[in-house]
Amino acid sequence: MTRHYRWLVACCVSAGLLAGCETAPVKAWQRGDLARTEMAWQPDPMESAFRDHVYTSKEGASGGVGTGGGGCGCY
Amino acid sequence: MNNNKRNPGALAALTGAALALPAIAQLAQAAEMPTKTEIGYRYSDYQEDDVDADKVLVGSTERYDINTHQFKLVAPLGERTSLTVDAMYETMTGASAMSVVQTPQGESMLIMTGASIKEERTDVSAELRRYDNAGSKAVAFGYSTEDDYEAINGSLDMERDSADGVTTWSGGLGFSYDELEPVQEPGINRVTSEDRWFINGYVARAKVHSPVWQTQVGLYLGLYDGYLDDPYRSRDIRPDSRQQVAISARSRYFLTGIKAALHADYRYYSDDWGVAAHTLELAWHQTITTGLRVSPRIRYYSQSQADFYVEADSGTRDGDQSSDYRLSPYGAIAYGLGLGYYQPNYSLLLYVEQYDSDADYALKSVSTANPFLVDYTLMTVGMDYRF
Amino acid sequence: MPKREYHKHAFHAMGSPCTLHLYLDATANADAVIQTVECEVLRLEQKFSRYRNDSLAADIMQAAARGGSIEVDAESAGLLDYAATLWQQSDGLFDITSGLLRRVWDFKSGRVPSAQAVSDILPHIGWDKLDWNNPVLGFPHAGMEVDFGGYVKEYAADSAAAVARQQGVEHGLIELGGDIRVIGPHPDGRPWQVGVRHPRLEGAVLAQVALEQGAVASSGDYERAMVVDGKRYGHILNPKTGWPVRGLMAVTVLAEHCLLAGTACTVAMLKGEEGPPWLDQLGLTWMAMDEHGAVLGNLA
Repeated sequence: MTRHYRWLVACCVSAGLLAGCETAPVKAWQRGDLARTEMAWQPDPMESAFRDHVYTSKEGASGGVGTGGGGCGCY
Repeated sequence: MNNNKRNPGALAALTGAALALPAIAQLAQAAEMPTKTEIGYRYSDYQEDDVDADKVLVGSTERYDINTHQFKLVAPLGERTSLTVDAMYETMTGASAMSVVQTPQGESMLIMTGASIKEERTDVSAELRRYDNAGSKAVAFGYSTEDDYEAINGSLDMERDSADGVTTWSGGLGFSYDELEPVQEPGINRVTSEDRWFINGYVARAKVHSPVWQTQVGLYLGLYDGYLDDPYRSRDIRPDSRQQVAISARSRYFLTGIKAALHADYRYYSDDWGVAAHTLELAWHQTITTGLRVSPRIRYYSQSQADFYVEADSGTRDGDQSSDYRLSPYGAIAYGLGLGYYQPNYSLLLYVEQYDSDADYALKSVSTANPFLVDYTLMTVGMDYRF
Repeated sequence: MPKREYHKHAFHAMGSPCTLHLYLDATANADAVIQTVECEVLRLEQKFSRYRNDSLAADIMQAAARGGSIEVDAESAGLLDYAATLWQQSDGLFDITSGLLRRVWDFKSGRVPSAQAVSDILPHIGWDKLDWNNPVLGFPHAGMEVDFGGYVKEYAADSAAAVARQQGVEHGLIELGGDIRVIGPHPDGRPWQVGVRHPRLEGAVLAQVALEQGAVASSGDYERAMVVDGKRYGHILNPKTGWPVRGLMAVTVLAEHCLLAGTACTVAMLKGEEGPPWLDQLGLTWMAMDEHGAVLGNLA
């Protein structure tokens, strides 16, 4: 087996500047691009929940994956 | 030996093998579970366009305005459990349609409720989710109340990753029990107290096709049982049950070169009232610079009418009947734009949506448009904070 | 929020300098936590070291030498399963039986082995010649070797991070000889800044990556090479041919865990020019320098 040699590494522990980064991943194996928040089924669950609530109360059709029991007095 | 070069599951296979090692599984699981407490707030302003004055025979032309406050808390509880609490508070003002009548000239006209109502709605729900090495299970309960309405609901959910990590199965069962006590008005004969049950379930299978593409297909079933009429309509008689089925397909594709995520969601819906509907939503999530994202989207919706939909109410007709526009044939197009600024500890969000429905947008041509089809503008601002 | 103090602890293990960067609660027993994490690295070094008579690796070596079989514990079985999977996914290039090549390739000696010497070794190399039936590892042919040295350091970084988590550490980083596993970002949410060193220019940083979580590992073929008669022989040996591979000078890979990052580097180096497309197919974030000094990769 080949041994492993480092090409690294200066790990700058000192307070670096704030570097932007993507937020936490969805799943362990969904790394890289799949783990980006905008690749989630619902990037913003609060916004999705609210829009679903609007569509459900204003349209004839309703339901779908993840639909909970939530009721609404839509009439 | 097989040549696995073209196998998009190579990464999943390696990760699956690595996850068999307890140390790696432990960290992976910790990564999936929320490790920080997050609180979120959204304020939404929802405004329906007024009804055309020349379509209103009696009553107000002013439709609903709704202001909504949403709160969310997600917190880890120990090593393997998370708690999510959602709360929503809405205030509504506006008038709704009581009846559709046909003029002697054959034109459909609305009879609106006279005065603008003012209502409040509160909705609270809590979910406990337990994580293990290959997925999670959750139990949730909720309570919702309005001036004339009270409901409890609950659900069980689960999510399972396959050993190779390529597919994820999820499923859930939910119920809701609703009690209605319509606001009474002198001279109008309304029901005083009714109830209904709603049970539903879904199962979905998500699959990772490549490092930049994943899809999900799902099946949904819903069953209403009980009082399903609209008590505020002058003549509205519907069946006592409604069976719904929907199949959905979702796709998420990442364009690495330009850092954009392309979403496509489709749903086909059908129920035993005769309503069939297609919904297609496309969204483009474009990262502009680190932490800044703009997300335009478009949504198309089209439904056929319920078997018992009537273009105009009649006091002498027997059997199931409703002139509710939600049971009429129509289509709708919504355009939306989202803007998000994401930092490790907080996010700032802005969404706008314009929704227009029209009989002409329906997939099949419609002879008489319901006069109450809704157009609205929705604006949401919000922030999340993690600590 | 509890007050956290930053602790840095350096030690030597697995033939490399190691550093723990941990944020610990002011109320916690810092020494005990640091000790526990370091002990995890030392435990794995002890268990999988070829150079210690009392190690599990030594027991496996004995079974391999005499052509017997050995039942291994769950952790070793997990590592063997991983090796089996990676052997498949790398078309046989990642091979933990290839250590025997060291018998003919002595990079300190400055001598190139004869073609005959190399080809004499090859029949004793090949993961597919073993009989791996979890938890029993059988050696149908005597005189083979199994060596965890090619990936145990990476696994140790993950394992030490897991132990740190068990100790309640949420913010920190484990660095074992240049392989890094993040436990969690700085307490204020800032990611760790990790510099990727330029393989040719001492002290120069080729790129800087911000890691909030996950791992980064690197592999290079410039430290232990020998030049004989004007020809350069790198230390990374193709287990199928027994000869050094060419194509890449160095690779850095970012992944969810260090085991994957490190072994992906190794495979990329072994694949040479085929390495970069292979990393792309896996969907990893990576960076490489080819033998002409050109920088490749999606880690910009």
